[in-house]
Amino acid sequence: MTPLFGTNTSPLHRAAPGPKLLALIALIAAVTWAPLAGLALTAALYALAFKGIARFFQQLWNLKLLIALITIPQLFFGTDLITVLNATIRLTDAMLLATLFSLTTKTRDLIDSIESALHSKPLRPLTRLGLKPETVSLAFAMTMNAIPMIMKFLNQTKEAQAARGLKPTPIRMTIPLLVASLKYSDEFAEALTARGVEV
Amino acid sequence: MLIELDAVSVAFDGTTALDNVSVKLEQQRIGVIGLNGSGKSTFARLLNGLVKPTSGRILVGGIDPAVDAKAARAQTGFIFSNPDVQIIMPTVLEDVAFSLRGSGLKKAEIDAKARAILKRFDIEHLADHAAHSLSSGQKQLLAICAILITEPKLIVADEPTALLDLVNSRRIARALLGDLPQQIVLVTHDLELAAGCDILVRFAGAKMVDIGEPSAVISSYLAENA
Repeated sequence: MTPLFGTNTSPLHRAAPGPKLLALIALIAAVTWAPLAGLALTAALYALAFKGIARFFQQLWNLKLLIALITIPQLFFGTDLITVLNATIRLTDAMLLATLFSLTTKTRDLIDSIESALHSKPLRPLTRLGLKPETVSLAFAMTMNAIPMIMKFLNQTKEAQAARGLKPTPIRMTIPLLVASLKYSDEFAEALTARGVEV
Repeated sequence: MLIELDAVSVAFDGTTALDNVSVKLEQQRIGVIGLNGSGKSTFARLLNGLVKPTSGRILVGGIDPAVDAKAARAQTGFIFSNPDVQIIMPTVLEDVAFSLRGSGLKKAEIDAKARAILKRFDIEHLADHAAHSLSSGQKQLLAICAILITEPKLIVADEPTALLDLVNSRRIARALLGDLPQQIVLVTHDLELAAGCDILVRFAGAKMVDIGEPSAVISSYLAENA
């Protein structure tokens, strides 16, 4: 078991979430014009954050299915290879940058930034329309938190079906996964209430 | 702190979950036992307003949780049997610190308090780990830390060792029944754990059927369900 953030003190880990998010958005826009240079820059940022290029390739490998999903339909519909490569590199780069942001930003810092932004002058009118910054930031934290739980349910469902001699398929997985997720959401809501969270 | 139920009944969709329970409890460690569906968890949930009585009145330290649930929750921490559902934030330190959100303390002060409580339960080294990657025992200790940091007067633990192995059950038992200054209401099927309480309350068929010295209540429970 390794720490989620560990003692990493790279410039990217130390950067404030707000400016980092804006820089990320600007970078994603920029890679549209120069996909290969953008990918090289992303690799350099990973190297800066994690003292080496291994994490970059690990994340790239994690995206293999998504990359296939983006690439294959384009090839199937006869798009020329250069266009396919450009589009795939752009989207992959955007996903790698978004992952880099989440890997180098503590959720608590991020939700603090979301709350500060929503309390800032330009966005304050939204609060007058009924938007609660604390609720938005909490919803964000809970979404991040739900991902490992849903992955756990997915694995449990797969194992339970395999144990009964069934080959797990997306159709067979849907209902048990839905039931487990709904049960979790009920219990989680009760735990939130017990911890005094008012939303 | 005095826990007082006066003719409390709870019904869900026409099913009686608790039937006309009247009791006064002020012992430090209160154990609650009974078969599944006997009303134990409903009793526990009444104490911090997670469940409201259909009739009757409940007072916990002078506060009626059905009337002022916010005040009741501020003085009562609740620990569930499934530690997974209690985790709100991704890392251990963030989750404990989350409990002091809105307390007015500075981030550095909150972090220091969170680290201190993690150290007290020997899980400070896990502070920056993903909370969901912990073992069940560690998650339950995390849940206890997240509750204790708010310094509640009362802790209600609903089957906190139900999903744990022997070693982790004993670890949680030591944490809860050790030297905590808080009053505790411990709902459990673990009779060894229940025996460590100052008083035991037993539920059966939505009614409170026994109360008293743990050894006597456990004996009658075992005899009745032999």
